[in-house]
Order: sequence, then structure tokens, then C-alpha cells
Amino acid sequence: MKRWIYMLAALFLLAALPAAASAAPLTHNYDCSDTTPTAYDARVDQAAMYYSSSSSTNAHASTAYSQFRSDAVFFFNGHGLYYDDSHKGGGIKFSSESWILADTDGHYPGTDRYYITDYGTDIRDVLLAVYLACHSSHYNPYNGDLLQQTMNKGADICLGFDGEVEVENGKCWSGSFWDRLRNGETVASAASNAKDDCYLHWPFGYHGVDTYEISGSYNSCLTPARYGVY
Amino acid sequence: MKRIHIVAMLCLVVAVSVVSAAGASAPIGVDTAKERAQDFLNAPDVTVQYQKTERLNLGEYYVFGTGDGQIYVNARTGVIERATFDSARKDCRDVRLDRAAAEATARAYAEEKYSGFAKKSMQLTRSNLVSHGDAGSEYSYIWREESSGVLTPNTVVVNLNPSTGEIVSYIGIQREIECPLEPKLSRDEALKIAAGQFPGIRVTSATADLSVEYTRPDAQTLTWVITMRGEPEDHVLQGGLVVIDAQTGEVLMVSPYL
Repeated sequence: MKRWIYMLAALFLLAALPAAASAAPLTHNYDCSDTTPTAYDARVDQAAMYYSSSSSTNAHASTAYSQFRSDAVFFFNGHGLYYDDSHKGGGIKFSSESWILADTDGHYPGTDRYYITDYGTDIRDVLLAVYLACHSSHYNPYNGDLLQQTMNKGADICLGFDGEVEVENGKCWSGSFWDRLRNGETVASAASNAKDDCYLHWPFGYHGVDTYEISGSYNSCLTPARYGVY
Repeated sequence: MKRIHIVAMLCLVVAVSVVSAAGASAPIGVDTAKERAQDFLNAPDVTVQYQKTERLNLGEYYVFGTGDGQIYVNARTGVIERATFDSARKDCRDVRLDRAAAEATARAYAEEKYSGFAKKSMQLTRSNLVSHGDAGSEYSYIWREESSGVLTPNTVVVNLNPSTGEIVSYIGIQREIECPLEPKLSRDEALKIAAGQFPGIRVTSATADLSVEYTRPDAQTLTWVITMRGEPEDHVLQGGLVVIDAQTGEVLMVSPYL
């Protein structure tokens, strides 16, 4: 009889394990230019913080837009939107000329477009969204403001870049940023220290990574692993 | 007998020089570095804790946590080359300091912490008020030493809270120049090579700086650091950063804009 009770208990525990694993907050990380392996590295750091993380290269915007709904953390590293110096920002570019945009006033870059403004309460569980792209925190009169729209839809923290960032410094910043978050720094501290880490790599200088902007609870940490507050 | 004395003297001289050379390049040890970090902070009651050793092309660092940031001590020279102060970021939304006051504060800190700052030909290459959105703003000052039209690795960065004037972060690099400062490649040649890295680019603007960079561990290279912007293609800004060996013309880095 005792043996049966032990066996039942063991079976119960085994059945509970996958459920516990799948309960870990989800993250998705995207490399969408020559930015590999930043998405993978971010995924490794997030996994160390007990998130259920995944990464991909050259995903389509439709995939990212759909997965965003289930994310605690969303990280994009790729191209930002640029028409001219007066109309830049408000969008991030995925594969096959597909874009995630904050909004539109009738300007439509690329072939497939998905709008943050079209979400209802879908992304209210997002804890942190990071858009590592040129002008990703800049307001564009044509396509809106990615950070503001993401926050309007309920994300807790959103980070983007007002200026121009290039691939190598973006890689440096990303590697350092996620590593520092993993080590328990706040989002604001990790972003700031990551920019100084990049200054010391050649060639000397910030090269745009100092133009990061954070909306929301910038003094939060990513640990313990969790979804955002709504 | 005389010959033996001469040989003995020579051996002694060689031995002394080997030992002193080895001493010059040997790491200082974590305990000594910790003392230097403590001295830098000028706060004996602050607990300084060793975190890790970090190796960059620039050199090797002992990194210490202070509970309020980090201190990077050069593992060979014992000089503090980087410091961050997390608590100084508090209340940095309001800009209460004007630019003149902020620059004076930054310069005073650089003169205090960076040995020989006033004697070197340090050029203020950037002075900005940078916004970080809800996370506030910071005044950012960058100096680079200029020698014969070349930016050397000697640089000072001071970022400060625009409301309180507190120092948020400091970087101070000091190195001897170990490479020739006369380029074999002209600026125009360098710009031509850079444009070739972005096929089809219609250049709208470009900057080119001669700069001594650590492109490999502990090795200086005279380079052309070029930033090139072009007209957008498919709604993406064209161009980026290109680093070229100013002696050989070899392209060392091509980093397109995101």
C-alpha cells in the first residue's frame, strides 16, 4: 500500500514539472539585421533569470506581433524607420519588408504592417520591451511614437534609442545590458552602465548608445521573473 | 679576473633590468587595487568588494562593487579608469544647472581625478544634455587628447546629474602613444574606401577622424574612424561606421546603421 502511495506521489510530481516549467514568463528576442547573436545572448541571460526565453533571426513582423501578446519581455535588434530627418522613428523592420509600427497617418512603409495602436489590452502583461534600432524612441509625425504607444497599451517599461545606433555598438550595448540585468541591476542602471561599457570598446565613443530613452518603471529589475503589472 | 668581473656586472645589469621590466608589467594584485579604489572614493567607511577581472583590448581591470556602483582599477597601473555612482542618478529629471555651471563641475572633477589633465592638450569633443526619457537626463562631457591632429587614447568622460551636479559616471584613460602618428592613407582615400563598404550609397554627409585605437589586445593602431550617412533605402538609413588602418588601408570594421 505504502509503495503505491509513493508511486502516485512521484507520478503527480512528474506531471506537475512541465506545468511549472511552462508557467515561467515568456520572452521573445529577435535579430533582424546583421545583429546575431544578440537575440540568442539575451535569451541565455533571460533563461538564467528563470524566464522561458526564445530567440530567432529574421522573423516576420506577423510572428513577433502575435507573440508579443504572450511576452513578459520583448527584445528587437534591427533597423528602425527613417524617411528623412524630420520623419524618423515609430517603426521597426522585420524580414520581407514587414514592419511593426506605432501608428500611421496614411504613410505605409514596406509591404506588411502591424500596428501597436491596434492592440487592445493584448500587451498589458509586458514587463519590458526593448527596441534596439535607430530612432526607435523618436516621435515620427507619420508613424507615431513606439515607446509611448507600447506604454499606452500597458507595458511596464519600454526602452528605445533617439539617435542613430550601428550594428557593432548595438551588439556591445545589448550584450552588456542583458548581462547587467541578469546580475540584478535596474533597467536604468543597466542601460547607463552598458553605454559606458561600449565607450571603452574600439573605436572610442558612445556612437549613439547614449541616446537610450526609457519609459515607465525604469528603476525595476527583471528578477524575480514575472509578467508586468496591469 | 677582470673579465669575470665584467661578465658578472653585465649579468647583474641584465638581471636587474629583467626584474624591473617584469615588475612594470605585472598586475598589482587585488588588495592593492582595492586600496586604490578606496582612496579614489575618499570615503574610508564605504565597503569595496571585488567582483571580477575584466580583460579589454585597452587593458585588464579589477572591478569592484561599492554598493552604489562600480570602480574599475587598471590591473597594471592601479589607476582608477572608470567609476559609476548609481545614487547620483536620483532626481535627474529637472535641469537646474546651466551649461556653464555643468561644464565647470565636470572640468573640476576631471582635473581632480585625471592626472595631468590641465597639462595635456585635451579637446572638449562633446558637451551635451542627453535625455533618457522618464529616467531623467544627464550632462555628458567628453575630452580627447589631440596630438598632431590625431585623437589619442587619452580621454576623459564625465556624466553628471543636471539637477544636483553629482557625478553619475567617470571614465579616464591614460596611455603612452606607441604607434606612429603620421598616416600613409589620406582623408580622401579613407573616405573613398569607406564609401566602397556601402555599395550604391548616395552619401549625404561624412566625418573622418584620425584616432589611435586599441583594435587588438594591448596593441595601438592609427586609424581613420569614419561616420558616413547616405540617403535612405526602403525606409532604412544608409551608411554607418567604418574603421580603416591609416597605414595599410585595411578595413578593420564596417558597422552599418540599424
